[in-house]
Amino acid sequence: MNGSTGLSISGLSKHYGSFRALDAIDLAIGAGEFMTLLGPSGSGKTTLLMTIAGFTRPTKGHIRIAGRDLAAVPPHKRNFGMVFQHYSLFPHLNVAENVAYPLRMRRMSRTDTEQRVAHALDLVQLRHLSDQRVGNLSGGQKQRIALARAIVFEPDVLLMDEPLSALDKNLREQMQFEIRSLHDRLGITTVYVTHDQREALTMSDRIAVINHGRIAQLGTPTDLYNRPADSFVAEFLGESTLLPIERSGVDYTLSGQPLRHDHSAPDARYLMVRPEKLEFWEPGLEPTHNRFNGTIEQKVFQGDSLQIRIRLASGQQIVMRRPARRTVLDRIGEGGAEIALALHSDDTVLVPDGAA
Amino acid sequence: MLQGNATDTQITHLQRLWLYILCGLILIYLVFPIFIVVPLSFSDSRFMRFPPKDWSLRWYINFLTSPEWRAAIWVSLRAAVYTTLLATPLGVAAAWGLARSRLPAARALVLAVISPLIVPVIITAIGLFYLYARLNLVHTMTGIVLAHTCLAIPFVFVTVSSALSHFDIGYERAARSLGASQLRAFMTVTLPQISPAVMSGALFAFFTSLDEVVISSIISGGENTTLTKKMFSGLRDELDPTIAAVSSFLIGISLVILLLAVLMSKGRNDD
Repeated sequence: MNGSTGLSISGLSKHYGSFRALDAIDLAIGAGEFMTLLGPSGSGKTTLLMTIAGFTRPTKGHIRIAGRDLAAVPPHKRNFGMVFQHYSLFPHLNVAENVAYPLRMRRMSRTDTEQRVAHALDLVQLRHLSDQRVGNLSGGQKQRIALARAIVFEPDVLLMDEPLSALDKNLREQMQFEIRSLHDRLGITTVYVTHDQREALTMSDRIAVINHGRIAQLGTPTDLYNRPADSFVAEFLGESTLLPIERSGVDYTLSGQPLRHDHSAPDARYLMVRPEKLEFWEPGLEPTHNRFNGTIEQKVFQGDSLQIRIRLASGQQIVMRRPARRTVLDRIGEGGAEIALALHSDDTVLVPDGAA
Repeated sequence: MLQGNATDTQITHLQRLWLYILCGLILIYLVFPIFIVVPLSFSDSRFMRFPPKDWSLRWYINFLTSPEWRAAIWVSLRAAVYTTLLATPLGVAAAWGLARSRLPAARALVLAVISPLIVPVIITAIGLFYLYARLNLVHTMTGIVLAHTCLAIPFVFVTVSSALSHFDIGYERAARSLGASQLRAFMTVTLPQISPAVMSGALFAFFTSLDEVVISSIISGGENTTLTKKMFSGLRDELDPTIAAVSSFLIGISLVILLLAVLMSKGRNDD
């Protein structure tokens, strides 16, 4: 199967009265790319997916595939596979009949159909369930069957609408890797909607963070995590502490302390600190690190790691995360103890204000 | 069984005895006419007298050999079949459309569709008579079927609407994403899942037409006289037990069709 066709979205808007569910979205999705639309509920990410699928008619703008405008193409002629949050397997058909459904709609011959259904079920390792009724399947099995049904007809693009949100945590993590490896084997252009930032980081080639119907930031998981475009992305993706900073001349200060930072940041308003980037201060770190002094307020044991809340001398609170290792535990005093922290200038990320 | 083992918090069957008695009385009240009519139809007497003294099949023979009665059966059955064939798809389409509709007027449209249930049938009948008089539809099969369809659509609409209210729109959306047009998505995914409701809607439509008296007695006639109209005028003019035989015959048809429907839905569930 090779469904490697890119998708290009330009100036796409969807207005409901005065509410802008989508506000002039531009997005180019490469052939074979795994693109995740990430955002809080109500951000417009699902509207964007439904517009790509053809179920929602855009107010303005274009969606093109291989140069062809999809405006007048109804959903059933777009040749996009789709996986839904609640599986939507047809209860009156068994597993094999469900997977064969898109082929039946395409009037494919019986032998071809059987062959393709078997192949698709092999891909999700559920061929032995061919004759089962879908009501007897577990959630994970249902979602794998739904996936097989969405790829069996070699769609140009695979659309997934929060497909794992109904599953429990362990299964969800396992399915993330399965979906990703299936994507890598088939090379199918995929648009994946989720509100789970960890899922987005795990699976995606690129992530488009959506907020208020706009793309707040588009980039690789590493880009987004390490270089968030603004405070909204910084807070939405991963754990972070945002500390307000002041501008002094060409540089920035945190409560009067000049900040050493490697990346230019026009109009920055906050210092973003990822808890795991903070280290214990050591002599000799001066040339590359910023130093923060404070007192330990609280230590929280979280199994694999220790979360430490520290009150800075300036009065602001900051969170540090260290592996719960003997050497670390030995270094951390009790509540009230003084502590000196180090943050590498490369990890000193200054971000502008983003509308939350 | 009446004293079955109940825990402290359960109500024993004995304590519920009055409910069983009440239900029994209501059931007897509902089916009581049948216990009069069916024996009457096997009477040997020329008059409707209960209980019959002697037994015979003469009224059934009279009913089934009389060309007039046979014509009336035929008219009624044809009208009922055509009505079912017309009202079922229309009722299903209306239910589907209004279940999906986000129009503010949708609620008003629901009322319009079920209004034949609310408007007294005699009013509908008189209105239709004047309308049909202009359209030359009085005493025609077309006229009867159109009128009965009007009465039958609400029954199909209500049963199918209630099934659709539990039906997840996601199924049709999934079907469309997989390459089915809106119509094929409905035919291949929705219809198979709501078919029990469609079947019972169709049965309601059939019996609505078969049993209908008021409109039939006003707009049917001539060679298109329905069984119900013929029975009604028979009651007025002749008052012989043939009518009891016809009634029993209608009850028989209803029972057979209901039994078939039950058996069919059983077969589907066992599948």
